[in-house]
Amino acid sequence: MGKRDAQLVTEALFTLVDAREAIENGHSDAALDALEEAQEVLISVKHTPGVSVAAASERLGVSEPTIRSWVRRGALEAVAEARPMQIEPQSLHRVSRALAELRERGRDRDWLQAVVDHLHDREARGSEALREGLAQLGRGRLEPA
Amino acid sequence: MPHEILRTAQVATVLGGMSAREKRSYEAAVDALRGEGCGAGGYRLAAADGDDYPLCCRHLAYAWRMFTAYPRKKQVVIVALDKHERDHNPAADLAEVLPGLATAGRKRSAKPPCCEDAADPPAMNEELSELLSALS
Repeated sequence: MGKRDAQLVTEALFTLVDAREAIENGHSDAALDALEEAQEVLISVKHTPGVSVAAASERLGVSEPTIRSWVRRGALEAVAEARPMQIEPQSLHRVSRALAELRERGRDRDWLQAVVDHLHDREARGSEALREGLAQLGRGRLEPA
Repeated sequence: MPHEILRTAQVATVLGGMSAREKRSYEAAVDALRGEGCGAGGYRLAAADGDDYPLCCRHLAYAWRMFTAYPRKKQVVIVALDKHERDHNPAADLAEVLPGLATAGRKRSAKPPCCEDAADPPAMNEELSELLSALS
């Protein structure tokens, strides 16, 4: 990090301290203003566009292979052409919030089981074998079992 | 009167590659379907909107699954046999539907039986009929 960027980070840090004091004193508007200012300052710092797989793994509390799996499945977005892989921050934030909800609601075992059932059924409906069988059923190609 | 059990070519092909243990599991399921109809069909699949889908799924040996349809009274069609090979990682599965996480799974709290009454098997619905038209 260059000298200018280091100064910007320090500036943002002080602004965050201001925001914290404003919250402690019940001045929410002032806190929001300070947070926005800190955000603008930090955005101006030169940085990589995404988050490393390792950092995303730590943030979400799942393994790095799981992070890569979620990227392949489209739940997380990778920064285009970034090598090594980087995770797009907005998608990381979205997944982080959803996982927090999942972990909270996952204490309700019936709900969690219902979600798992729903996914398994969805996978079953999309199975290649079932599509092939349905096509044959549609053509009336049946024989005694 | 026993139910008529039909199967697709997909089923016959898959059966050819099954082990003796797997085949026995399949044959036991066919016998049960012959006697009980949809009562031996396992559970109803859920449709995309969470409602019931007009196909049933029965688990066989070694993660094999048997999918059945009930186009006519006293007739069962074994539509397909498929093996559930995917790595069962609930967290990874759940991540698939993160955008809809709040609503997924709310409509059913358990897998419903294929049918409540063998005389009233799952009817082919519009969604499946359209799918069949598109595929055939």
